[in-house]
Amino acid sequence: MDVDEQANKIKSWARKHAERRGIQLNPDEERVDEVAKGLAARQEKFGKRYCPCRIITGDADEDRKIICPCVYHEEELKEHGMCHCKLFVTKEQ
Amino acid sequence: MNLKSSKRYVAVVAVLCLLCVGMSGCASISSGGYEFKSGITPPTVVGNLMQNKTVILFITQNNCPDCEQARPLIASLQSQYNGTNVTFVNFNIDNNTTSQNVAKAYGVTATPTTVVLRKDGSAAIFVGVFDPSTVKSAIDDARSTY
Repeated sequence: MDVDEQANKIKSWARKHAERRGIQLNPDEERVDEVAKGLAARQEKFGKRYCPCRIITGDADEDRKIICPCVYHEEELKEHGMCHCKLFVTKEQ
Repeated sequence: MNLKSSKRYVAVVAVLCLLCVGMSGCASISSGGYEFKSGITPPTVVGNLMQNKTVILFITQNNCPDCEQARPLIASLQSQYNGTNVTFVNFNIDNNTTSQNVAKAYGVTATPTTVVLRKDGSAAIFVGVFDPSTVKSAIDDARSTY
């Protein structure tokens, strides 16, 4: 599977995740495409869907926290209305 | 100890605590919405850059959309300080271990992270796409230490 195909797969997964959690994907489609491509590139390189704006430490326990949807995203949605990568946003955005 | 002297004791202790915190030098908070944190030893590569120069570190990685969004903001700041003693250095952590070590030294967990350094090594750290006017204030603050 190439990166574009993988990115499309990630986008449909992310859309479903957002629906289940009562949030939404960023209405800025270009942004969603960029993040999905970043996630796909990391999945290809590291085998996991690591957030493209977070740093992989090499410590498996720490790095598990930054697999999208990362452990930080719910708190960030509450505080800022969006996650750090700006893939997920609240419905109010 | 009666109530009056107890209150006086508590007040004296509180004032001493505040003085200790103020003099500890752990962090100095600026009114500009940023904070220079001390206690970080600049890695050798950064220390070498800091010879009579105000150094700004722009820490990025590949496939990071915010890094691309912040890049023109950094370029714009850089052009404003052309011909001055301000140096901007990009460390892409996907490129080499030096960049990874720099990121680690400043506790970077997300990108882009922009670090403004004062002469004493204290650092104002901005995570994500930053407000250029706030970073500019931090740079001017850092320049005044040289």
